[in-house]
Amino acid sequence: MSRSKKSIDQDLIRELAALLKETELSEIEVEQDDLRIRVARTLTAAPAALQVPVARTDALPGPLPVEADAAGKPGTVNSPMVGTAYLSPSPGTPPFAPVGTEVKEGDTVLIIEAMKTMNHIPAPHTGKVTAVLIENGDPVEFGEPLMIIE
Amino acid sequence: MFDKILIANRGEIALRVQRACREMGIATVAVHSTADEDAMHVRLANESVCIGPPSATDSYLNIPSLLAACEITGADAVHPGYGFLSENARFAEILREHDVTFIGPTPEHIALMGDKIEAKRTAVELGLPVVPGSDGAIGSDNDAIAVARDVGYPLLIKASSGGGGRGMQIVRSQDELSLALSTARSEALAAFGDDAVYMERYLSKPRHIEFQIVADGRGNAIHLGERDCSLQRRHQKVWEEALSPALNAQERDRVGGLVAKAMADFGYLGVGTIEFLFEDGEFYFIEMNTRLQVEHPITEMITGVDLVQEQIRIANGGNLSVSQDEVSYDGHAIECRINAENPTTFRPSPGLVEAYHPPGGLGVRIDSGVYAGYRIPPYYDSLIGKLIVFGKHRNECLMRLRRALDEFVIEGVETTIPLFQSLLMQPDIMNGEYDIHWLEEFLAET
Repeated sequence: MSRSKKSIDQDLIRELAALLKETELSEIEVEQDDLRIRVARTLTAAPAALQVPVARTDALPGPLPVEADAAGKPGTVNSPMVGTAYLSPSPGTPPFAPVGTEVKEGDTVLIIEAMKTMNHIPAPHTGKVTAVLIENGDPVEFGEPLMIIE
Repeated sequence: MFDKILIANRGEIALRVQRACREMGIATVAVHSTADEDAMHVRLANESVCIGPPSATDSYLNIPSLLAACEITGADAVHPGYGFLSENARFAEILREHDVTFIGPTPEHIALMGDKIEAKRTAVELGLPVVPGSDGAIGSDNDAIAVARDVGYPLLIKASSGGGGRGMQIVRSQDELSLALSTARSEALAAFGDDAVYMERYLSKPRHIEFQIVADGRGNAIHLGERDCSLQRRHQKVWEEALSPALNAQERDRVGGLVAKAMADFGYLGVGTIEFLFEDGEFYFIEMNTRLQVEHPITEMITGVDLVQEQIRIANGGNLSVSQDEVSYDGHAIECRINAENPTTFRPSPGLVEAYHPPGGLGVRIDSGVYAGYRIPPYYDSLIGKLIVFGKHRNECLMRLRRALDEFVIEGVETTIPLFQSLLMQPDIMNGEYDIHWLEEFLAET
């Protein structure tokens, strides 16, 4: 949500990608503060950026991991509202749709709570959950990528 | 003092609020639609929350989304800016129910002044002079004819739930009355959901003079002088100045004193503006805006009072920062609203601002969220920014304004800068001799 460092991260990724190309390496990984970036490419494909946050805090503001791939990827489920996201029906119960789950269109995949109302978020299409991009209890904004169902 | 203020607006006013909060050491939350992700105030705020898609209805007017944003960020107050939900009593009420402070007046006062018929009635009770007109809403057509005879032609039919120049019909004679009434009613119903209309005498060459007031909600209120906003196109203000070239100190103190006392008696909380039409030495109350106005900077320049900080302090239960005796007017200020529009057709011109270099120097203030590389979205108003100049007297302002306009670089979109440059060549403008019809008459000739 807070994007104070977004543009810096993009520049860094661009730099790394250029460096990759220049040096003919297939992979570069760097760690900076609480952020770790790995830039990799195959010989025929364009460089792909994968960014893994080393430490994730609940307190805002903080650097937001750049899901440069996830946001545009087909199958990404984006948040339709502002609120707090929960991955399971209640604390302690198993999550609705962990990675690997096959879901049908309309199945509840997570809950977003706003003003004491629990809103069930349905899978927009049938498929398999290949990534869950948020953690239980994370605040989410409109359009934020939540999970990928391929 | 508030720990965190959520700015429920966009564009230049959101940046204005961001600046005030920053100076007061208050953390900010910038809410924005997907179209405003790259807005300047979003970049500067401590946190941002995307609250919806571009459409204002689904974002800046989306009360549940705004409330949820307050919830997840822990904001303890909301500044509504101007427009959008700033005069929405329901929004103020809902925030109150959720223990979030709405930086503005009480929901009751917002609702009262939002109903233009009730507002006028209240103004009369508070001792303010009003435009002669119908006593409340018009009933049947026959009632209308009788009232119209008293009010006299030409007259205006106005929507009770309108305001800001919207929902008005001119009637020049009794023949036109019936048709004008039905047109006014159906337009009012469509635009405001309420077909109640009232009548007022039509003043032929008035100036629009408004007084800035500030009140602490405990029966204390002051005025900060007037602004002359007569230069309007389709009821939208284009150029404002403080103080008015048409008033003298005596009139200012008299009417200022009246409005300050009215607001003290009213028990108002926050900033507000009492709008008058001024003709032949007489003032006529038309409406009250229970919020910060677009043109507030010119009052700030001549009084030295930061109106947004004042709003925040008052909303937190603080006292007014100055007493009426301490208010003084120093110099003169003029504001030009620069829009992304063709300067002759006024067709909106959104798009990418390729080059942007605002003027500077002594006495020049720019309130704008635009920067080089910023894309002005097509979904909202076309305001690029406000150019405000301050000078020791009106003539210095005019010279400074001309200089500043000539320096202003905005490329990639069309702007109304040429309009202001041509206004500065008009003797009437140089002499401060204009009324609320002047600009449209000027535009019709050119």
